[in-house]
Amino acid sequence: MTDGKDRDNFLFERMCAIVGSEHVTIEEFARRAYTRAPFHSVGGGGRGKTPGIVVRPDSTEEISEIVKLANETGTPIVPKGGGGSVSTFPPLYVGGDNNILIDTHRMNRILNIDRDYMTVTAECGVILSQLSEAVRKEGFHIYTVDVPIHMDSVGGVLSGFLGGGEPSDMATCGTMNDYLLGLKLVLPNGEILQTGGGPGTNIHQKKILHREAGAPDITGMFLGDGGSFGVKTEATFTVHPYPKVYLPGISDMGTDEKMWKAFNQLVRTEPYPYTRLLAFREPGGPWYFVHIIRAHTQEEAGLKKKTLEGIVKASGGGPAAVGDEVMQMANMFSARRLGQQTLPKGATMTYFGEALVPRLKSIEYLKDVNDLLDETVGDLDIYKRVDFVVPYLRATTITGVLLYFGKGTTRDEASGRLYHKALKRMEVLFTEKYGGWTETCQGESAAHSASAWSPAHKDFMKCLKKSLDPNDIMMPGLWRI
Amino acid sequence: MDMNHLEEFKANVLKCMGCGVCKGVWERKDEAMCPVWATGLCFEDSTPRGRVTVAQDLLEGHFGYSLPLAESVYRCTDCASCAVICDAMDPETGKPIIDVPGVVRAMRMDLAENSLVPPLVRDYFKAVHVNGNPYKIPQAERGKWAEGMNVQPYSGQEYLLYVGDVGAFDERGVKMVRFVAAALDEGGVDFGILGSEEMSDGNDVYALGESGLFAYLAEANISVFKKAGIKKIISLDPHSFNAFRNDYPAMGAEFEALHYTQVLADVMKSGALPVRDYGVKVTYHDPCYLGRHNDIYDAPREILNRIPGLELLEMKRNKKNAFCCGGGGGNFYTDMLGGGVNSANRIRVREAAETGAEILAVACPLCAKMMEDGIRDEGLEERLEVRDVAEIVMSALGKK
Repeated sequence: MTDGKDRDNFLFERMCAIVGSEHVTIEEFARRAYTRAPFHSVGGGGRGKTPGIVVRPDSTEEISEIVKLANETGTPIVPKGGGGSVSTFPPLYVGGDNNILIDTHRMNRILNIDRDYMTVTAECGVILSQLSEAVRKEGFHIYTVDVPIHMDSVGGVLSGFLGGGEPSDMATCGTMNDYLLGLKLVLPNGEILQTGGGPGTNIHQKKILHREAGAPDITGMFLGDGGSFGVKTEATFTVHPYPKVYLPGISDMGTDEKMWKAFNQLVRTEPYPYTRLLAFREPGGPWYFVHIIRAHTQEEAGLKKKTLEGIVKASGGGPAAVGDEVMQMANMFSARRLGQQTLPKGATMTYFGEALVPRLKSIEYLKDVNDLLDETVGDLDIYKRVDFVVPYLRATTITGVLLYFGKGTTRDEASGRLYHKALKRMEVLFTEKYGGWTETCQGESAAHSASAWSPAHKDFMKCLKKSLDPNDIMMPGLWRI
Repeated sequence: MDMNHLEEFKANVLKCMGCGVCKGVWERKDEAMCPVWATGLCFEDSTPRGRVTVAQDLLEGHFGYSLPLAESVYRCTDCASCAVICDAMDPETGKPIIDVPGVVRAMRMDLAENSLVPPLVRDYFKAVHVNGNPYKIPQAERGKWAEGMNVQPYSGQEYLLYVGDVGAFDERGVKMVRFVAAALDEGGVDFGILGSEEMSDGNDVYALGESGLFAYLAEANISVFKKAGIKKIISLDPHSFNAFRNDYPAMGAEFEALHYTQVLADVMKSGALPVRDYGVKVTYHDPCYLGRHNDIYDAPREILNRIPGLELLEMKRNKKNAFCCGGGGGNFYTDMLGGGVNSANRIRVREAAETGAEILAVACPLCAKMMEDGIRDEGLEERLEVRDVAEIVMSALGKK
């Protein structure tokens, strides 16, 4: 076999034999359609690398065959989930024009909901809203990311930021990876591995009921890997009784001092008097809290509400009497869809600049990000700017700035400047000054994140990657280590 | 290669931030709204977001139009669910900032002008061009459906009943138009038909991008309407209604366009149709060209709700969230969509069956045919029957 066309033809024919010709494409218009992610792709040259071939397998076994073929031909593999990442997802940045892109959309089956043990097993192409709805129908709740629940896939989220995204309940419940019990995946050499405390680690137990016990947490090793350690094909999660009570609210917190006092008190309170909490403000305006309480009884919700309102009041805040625009912000932050509310009149696009930072540094970080945005895009037509701080458990927050660009700003210019000027400076800011992580750390910022690894960590990762993927087939160059 | 029509959308497609809501599932429910995406058989380029991406790439010169690209573009059913789902709504107009259906139509118009339409689409255009209808049946037989009925040629009546291609020539369509005409007649509506003088409305020709042929058909129809002094037109088919209401005015039409359910709803309200108790469970499917394209959701439901004993059961996706039957945008004739077990019509009849209804009510002859095919393919013949709204009214009158 030679390089170039012969190899492409060989690959195409073999792929067709594995998955069927209708599930393979080499058409340029189709391949380029996979180079796009939200925000980043709009103008500014912000497209990812174009795969050489796109293949849509239907099973773990088919993926195994594809990966073996990739090893045989030395062709990089890029697995792709729902493509809903708002943070420049990894498939755009690795490999080259001869990539095999594995589109997992067809692997979208809910395989089992075990009512007795309260677990769900799903293929990794399942979209999170499908998963959420499937378990809800059985009276259960599963912690998934909220934005964009409509198109993020199980596999994509487990491979990405925090190894489980940013669920709406992250303030009190963590991320999806906290509820993951085991994975089935295709390793970079094409072998199939089942992780978790079930048939993979104890052949006498057919069900996956917990993570590995009495052995290293191998499941955890594959979380947040950007897909570079293998292609996730099935995942088993624990589910919970569905909390029927949903109680949202909004408080006017006034100044920095009042908001911050209440915020820190709320994250210290046990049990948490909220399920989700978010602080936001427009520059120069008062801070608001949006809270959502989810509970199993009205009484439980009422007690939490009382505790929360007590802390708010003791800090100098109180119930909010707000207009439509503030409610729009509140609704958007509590929404299950990206930008669920209509854009404010006169705005044409939005942008989130956010990072996982140590809680006590949140307000300082916010000021730095705003200064940075002033310097890089401050002269553009910005319709609205909103600061926000969301607790992630107790020690950290997701803090950032939401920008609405006005009609005077073209997407080309805004996105170009944001991603080629502001982002680079933000990487330095959040990684080096604050010791935090951006949600782009599994995408465009992966290499920058890896640049902060200690020498020992870098060596270990190199060793791990080389032993799993000797031919450097899977997401090559993601971390550039 | 010319892309004059797509050029007009250059600013529009650049506004898309690519969130992908348009291709995904609706809210927390577990069904994709885009009928193409729902088949599970397409690549990213055939999703609404993918179509905008392809449009951007075309405009930036990364590739040109081609037949394989045309195959992708022609799979869209023009159902406009992407336009309803899009998060980026312009508050001034209430419409999405990104006009995906408009982008698709522009690409189709460019493809047609560059002679790059798939063979099935080309055959459809040719049949309409040569015969005046896609069924290749002589125009003289256009009024044959009315044989044996008390239906008069148009001669100054209050309304023209415009039948359209499917109503005139398709067996299922003929069945439907006969019920509609009978119900209008029973209700005392003063109407006539054009018979062989009627021509294809051109809605689907336009949806498939043949603007020249559409203009020819529209001008011919408008000329006939004007000559006959027609002021009000009742359409059997929401596709015709859509063209008459939204596209014909720009070409000089000056008549009022109505769908038959709007007229029948008024007749029912007046009490002119003495419907009796009719104890059936019915679910209603919103046609895309009546619902999302023209915001008419209430009239068919008003008719059904005025029938004593009839229980109207809504499908989980209804009104503006209704799932397409797969027959829009010319797909009824070209079947470019395909889809097997997850074809749009099969998904939709499964939803209908979930309601427990015994009758699936429709208000579009294309939907009627698509749904009957879906019921057959799903093996639901014993549980579910397709009837158009007028047929249900006639049953409630004891006339069927």
